[in-house]
Amino acid sequence: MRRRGIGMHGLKQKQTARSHYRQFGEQLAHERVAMMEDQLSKFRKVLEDFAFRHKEDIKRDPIFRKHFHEMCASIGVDPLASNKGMWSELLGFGDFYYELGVQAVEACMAHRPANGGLMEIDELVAQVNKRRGGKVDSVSKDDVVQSIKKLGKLGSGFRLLQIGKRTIVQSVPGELNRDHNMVLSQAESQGGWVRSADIERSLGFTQDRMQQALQALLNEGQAWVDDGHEDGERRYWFPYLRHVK
Amino acid sequence: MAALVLDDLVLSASRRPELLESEIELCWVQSADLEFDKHKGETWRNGTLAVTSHRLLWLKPEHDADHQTTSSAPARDCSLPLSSIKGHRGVNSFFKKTPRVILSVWRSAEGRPACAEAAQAEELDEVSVALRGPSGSYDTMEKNLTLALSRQEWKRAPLRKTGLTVGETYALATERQRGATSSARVGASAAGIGGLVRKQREDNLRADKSIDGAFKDLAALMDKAREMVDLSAKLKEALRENAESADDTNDEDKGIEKFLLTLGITSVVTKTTAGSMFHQQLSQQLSDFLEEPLKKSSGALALVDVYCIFNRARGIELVSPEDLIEAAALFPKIGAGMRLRKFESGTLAIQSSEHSDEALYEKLEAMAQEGGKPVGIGPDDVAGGLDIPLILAREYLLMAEQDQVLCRDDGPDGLRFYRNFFRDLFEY
Repeated sequence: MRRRGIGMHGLKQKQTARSHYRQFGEQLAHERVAMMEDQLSKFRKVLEDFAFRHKEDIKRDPIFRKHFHEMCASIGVDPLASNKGMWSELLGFGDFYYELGVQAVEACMAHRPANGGLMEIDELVAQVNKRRGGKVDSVSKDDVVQSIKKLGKLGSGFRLLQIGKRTIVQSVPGELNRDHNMVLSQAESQGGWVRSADIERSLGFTQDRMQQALQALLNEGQAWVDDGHEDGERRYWFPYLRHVK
Repeated sequence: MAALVLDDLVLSASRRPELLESEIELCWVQSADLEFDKHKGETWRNGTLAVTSHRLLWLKPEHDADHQTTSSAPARDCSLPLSSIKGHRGVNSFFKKTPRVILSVWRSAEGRPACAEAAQAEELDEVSVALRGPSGSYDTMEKNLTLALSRQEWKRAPLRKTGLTVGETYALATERQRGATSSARVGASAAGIGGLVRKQREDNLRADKSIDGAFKDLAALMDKAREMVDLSAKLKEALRENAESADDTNDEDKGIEKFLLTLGITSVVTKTTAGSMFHQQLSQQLSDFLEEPLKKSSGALALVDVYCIFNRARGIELVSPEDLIEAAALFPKIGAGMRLRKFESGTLAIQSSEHSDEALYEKLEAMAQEGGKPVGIGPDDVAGGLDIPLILAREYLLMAEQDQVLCRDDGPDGLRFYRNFFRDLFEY
């Protein structure tokens, strides 16, 4: 048995050795992560390329299609991204817009927690292009608008709103919109009324989102406008809530 | 010799077969009989047959009434692993009206299908599949059976699930690329810190090379597909773990991630595989798929959202809006626990059946009574009580009024609804 490594000196020695090992381990791990990131981006590039060039071949073989999809899913490649030109040569634009529709709805869903389902069209176009990856042509505003219209068959929940000069995409239908519930409970906590500022501060709504919600509540007859307060700020009263208090 | 006993087949709530991990359907044909020729001519008639990457599946006809067995053993949903098939031959001649595929099957002493290694050489049995459906059925089945047998998907190990550390997953991924040739090499070169570094670099180089090789052309990729799936999954997972420890999560996808968790339908229903059964099969797959997402969104999903998440889960085979609507419209027919609902505003949504009109009215009536005394309810009460959006709550109240369950009182507090007690009078 070795006798070295015992006593104060031995302990210190062990400690330095351990910290050296740890440093080295960290360095190794760093290197590995960097390598894997390189591989991942390489993988993504070739996969995008394949998805784009061999789409029809891939569709034809169900077993391979599944493997391919698994790769796309784990690497984060959009298997649906294809170019408009390619489709027009093959079958007309139908499928191109259907694909784009999936991407547009997905982009909307991803941003819902932040914007409540309202998004400016330019912002949406940017998000969609980001999701489509670098391999395919980017899409224009017209393309996205077309794709939204193509999805009209699926009900009126997904549509374009014209607010002033801006075009807003609404992706949550009124029936499934919970913003109104949030405004209502905010009002309840304040004693039956709210101001825009309260909503902005407490709920973090954007201007558009707030306007949509309040307007819907007014249309429903849930809210009443009160412009008579001395500070000049408009209040939205919810008569029934006040009655409860 | 005892009769051949086929394996059981479990069906989902919507009567779709439960598939094994990474099993996928290749085709469906209708009006297929199973003939156990060697055993007193026993025949199971008029079922639906599927060829998958792993098995043959046979579903008995849904209405047993129009189905007669010629023997004591009643027909049941069953499956036959492809690994137990020694060979098959087709009988499809001009003179015989019904084409058949005759399978010779390895079996165990108890009569269960077995893979060749497990069965004794002499224990072979025969099953014929008679295809009485449309004329293309034979070709479809024959072609896909041959494809599945040649691919031998069942021989490949299923993907490893999570639970490994970064190092382990990565080592595993590269292990497979390396193959068996050098795996035994644990000599001086692999020992010590220098060895670790060298090994890591080698692993990396190997993974790099295998990506290059696999993506050379389509044929190469098809050949290496499985390996690449493993590698991609592991790269991703390893990096995700690393990102988690660095607390660098992506905020943007929070809105959709609850659905992404369900992403990935392994075996996709397509027009090519399902043929004339396309809409019915699609409807079944859709209803199975939506069960979880519906729960996560308190019972209702806009059809547009369904279109997005369903297509994402399917991957490359897009379902058109028309087909989606048609599939959703079939929900009542296949007995799914959800339905397509059209709102007055034109919104289309899928709702779980817990939100059926009857169930809903019962709840509303209960809400309009408090300790036996009638109380007025408004959209806000209903929204709070049922945990649903306000506009939906109003919609429900108006529906209930229309169906004479509630009646309105338009007072100074706004619109309130009361139980319609006139209904009690008419009922007696």
